[in-house]
Amino acid sequence: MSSSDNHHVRVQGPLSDRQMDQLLRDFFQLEVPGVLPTAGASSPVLHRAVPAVFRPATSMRSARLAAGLALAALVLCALVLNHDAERTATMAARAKLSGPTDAMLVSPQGATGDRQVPVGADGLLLQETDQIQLAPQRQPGLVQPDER
Amino acid sequence: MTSSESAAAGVPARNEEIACFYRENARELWAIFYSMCSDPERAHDAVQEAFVRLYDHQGEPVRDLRAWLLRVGQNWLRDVARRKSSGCSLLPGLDEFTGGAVDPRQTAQLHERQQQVRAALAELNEDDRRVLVMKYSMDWSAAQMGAVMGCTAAAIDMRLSRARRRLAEILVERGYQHEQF
Repeated sequence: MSSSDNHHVRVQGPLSDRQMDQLLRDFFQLEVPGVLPTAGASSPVLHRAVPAVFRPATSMRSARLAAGLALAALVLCALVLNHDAERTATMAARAKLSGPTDAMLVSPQGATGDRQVPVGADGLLLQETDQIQLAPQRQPGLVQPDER
Repeated sequence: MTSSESAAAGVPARNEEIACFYRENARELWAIFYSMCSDPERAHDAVQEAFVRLYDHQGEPVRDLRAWLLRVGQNWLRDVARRKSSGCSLLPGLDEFTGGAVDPRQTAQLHERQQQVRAALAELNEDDRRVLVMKYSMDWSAAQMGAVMGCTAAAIDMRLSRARRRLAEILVERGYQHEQF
């Protein structure tokens, strides 16, 4: 047994922060290929040109999320505006096709003073429209609320 | 000067530019690739591959060399991972001892330590691994890392400390033995 074996004992257990620091220094000293130049390690160029993969993932994620939300809002607005425009155009076209007769029951001849003129497609006369009872008709046997 | 002469004169200038860029950035590119694959040889191969393709590049001029090299290297790493070809990777750390009289037991211990730490690093989350790679492979200060990662030096110090602690926990879980005097 050599003399060094008396002083160095390999143990399993928690490592302190200082031990980890030394371990990582030793590890990367062997890990980094010796043929790689070291000029870039302290180059100010590194500060200007930030590799995308070293940027924090959270900021990238939030930026993408914000961009996605903005795009979705834009698409939604475009859809709503397009729908409104289509609806307006449809209504205008329908109004143009149907003409003023759709709006009110009047004679196509306008104010002629003749009450025998048909006002609808079913041949309803203007005179007949005057006889339509708008008030509810009474049914025999039923007591109306205002007669109590 | 004819066009062929000017083209011939442009080649050494371009080669010198690439060589200069290699000297400035190869180590950083290696660190980036290493944080992706946790394999020093493969990361080095990715750097070499990216620069070889840059030398051979005949298409449109490359506007952003760093971005171009990163993309080529990353794609190469993905291809290699997809093929799952381990290739003929060297034992890490052994290059340091070739040609010298080295205690075989010490060499074996070093090799084992490299493997254990590498495996533990691969278990860390991406941010913790990156901050350790930046710190220990490029020897960046907390301020430099903070500028790159978009946070304060104090935050980097905290993250470094947390990453070291987490790595220590993983090493203990994996049965890592360290020397005690």
